[in-house]
Amino acid sequence: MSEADEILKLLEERRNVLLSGPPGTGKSRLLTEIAHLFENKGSGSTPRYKPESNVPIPPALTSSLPGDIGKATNRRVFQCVLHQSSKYRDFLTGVMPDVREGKAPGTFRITEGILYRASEYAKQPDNAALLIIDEINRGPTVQVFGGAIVAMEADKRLGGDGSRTSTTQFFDLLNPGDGELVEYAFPSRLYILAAMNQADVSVEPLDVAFLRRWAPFNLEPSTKVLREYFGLSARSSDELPATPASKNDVFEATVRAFDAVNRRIALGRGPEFQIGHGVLMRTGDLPSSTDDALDHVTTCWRLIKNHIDEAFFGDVRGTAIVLNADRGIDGNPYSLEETSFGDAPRAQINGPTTVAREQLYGLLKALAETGE
Amino acid sequence: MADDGLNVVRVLFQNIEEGDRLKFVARSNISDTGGGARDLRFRPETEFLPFFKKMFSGRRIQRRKSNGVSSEIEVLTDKVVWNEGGKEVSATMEIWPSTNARPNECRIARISSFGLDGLIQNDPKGGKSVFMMFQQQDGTIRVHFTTETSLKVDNWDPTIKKFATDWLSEGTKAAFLDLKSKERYPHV
Repeated sequence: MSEADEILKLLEERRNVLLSGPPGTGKSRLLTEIAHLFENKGSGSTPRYKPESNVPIPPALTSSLPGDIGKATNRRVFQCVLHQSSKYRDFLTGVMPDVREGKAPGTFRITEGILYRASEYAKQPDNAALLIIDEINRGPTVQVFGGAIVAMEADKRLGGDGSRTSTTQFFDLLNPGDGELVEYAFPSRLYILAAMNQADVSVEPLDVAFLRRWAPFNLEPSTKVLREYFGLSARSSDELPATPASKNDVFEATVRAFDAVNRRIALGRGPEFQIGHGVLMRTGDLPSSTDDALDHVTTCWRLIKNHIDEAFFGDVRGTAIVLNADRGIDGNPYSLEETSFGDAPRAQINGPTTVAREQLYGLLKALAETGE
Repeated sequence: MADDGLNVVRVLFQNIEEGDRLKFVARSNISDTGGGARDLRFRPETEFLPFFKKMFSGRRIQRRKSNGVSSEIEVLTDKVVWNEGGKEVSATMEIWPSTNARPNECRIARISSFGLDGLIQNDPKGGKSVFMMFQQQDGTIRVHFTTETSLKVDNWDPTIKKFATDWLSEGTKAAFLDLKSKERYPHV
């Protein structure tokens, strides 16, 4: 079962799914794919030629949407990104100045936030709505959901026919229709898919009570995906050549270095700080020559190095271990130097700010060494 | 497991106007003397030629004389396939760069030589007739004829349908979509 199908199944079972993983593990791609499948009744986002069809490129059904998602005749995807200025009124309802054309100064209106609009859409007969919230840990998440938090879980929703069940949970909501406070509950066919990067050092961890209401789906860096992307076979025990004779030598060294670097990051800082395979993938065609491959990976390395520096900020020895700079490996442009600041011992990493294409293969070989 | 080779990676559309129909049989647009234009032209070349370079894998150098000056040009070549009466037919198609007389127009050369005129579809609702080429992931390039109504109404893949609908409302003569690089023309 594909990851997208697994998530759709989880959405059907639990209604709220939280996708998490290090940067570059494919969260955005998955969100796009699921949105496409949801809105297009299971048709994949990759068109396919079908020789025996009336039209040569008909919808390619790649997924049979599960349960109520599959049964709904009308479906719509709502998408947003949470940020530090997000407010309850942007998600549900609230009072805000009405500055629209034709409105008198000092007029107020009641907003219809994106969660409210998705919920109202899903309340219509035969409708289903998917709300996608990216970067859910980048804003004041618990405040944004407010009292709605108690009504999110699958068993706290209204019944499939819109009626109250014995476990339906209501919360107070300012009704956009008449401005009165009303008791409000979420419909059964409202699905919420959120995504976050746990290793974001600039955000607060999410509230445990909030997290409990989401079915987690974790993504991890994958060397298998990278090998498929670069067209490499399974890893052999062969030594890497001293110099790359082909683009595949560069790719093989890259994949081994990526794997070894991630293992050291996971040990030193935690698995959530690893870097995803997406950092080495690009839109469009694969590099076509050895030089193209070196150029491509040289560019990618800048991103990887920035990530390592960020994850190990202030920890020179940790950074040096990840870079294998403490082992005196030939060809590694980085090296750890023990020095002093007055009487105090200090360590520093010597090496280029930007690795040149000519230095890259030596670096990859050095990074790939695991000492095993 | 599905064969990924059948995945579509590039799509090209061109609106076939009355004058273009004659190109498929190499008849003059202004007289019945025979001869006349026989190339399907695409402009702007700056957009379409890079797209064709990704689609067509073959290259050959051709000498060309213009205003008495001889020069070498690169011609793109590849096999194209189409369906004719339930059978697959193939031929080598060539893409030529612009000439001085028609700058910024690249072209499918000698479209008349393929005998495709009988495959052009008339739109049942008076809409556009559409020449279509698409490339599969395994490299196969297919030629297909369809109509504006079919692209809007029939059971096409949603990505293709949306792209076609956007193109038809934009009103340019031709359009392409590269599903790998995400490049497209017109840029809507």
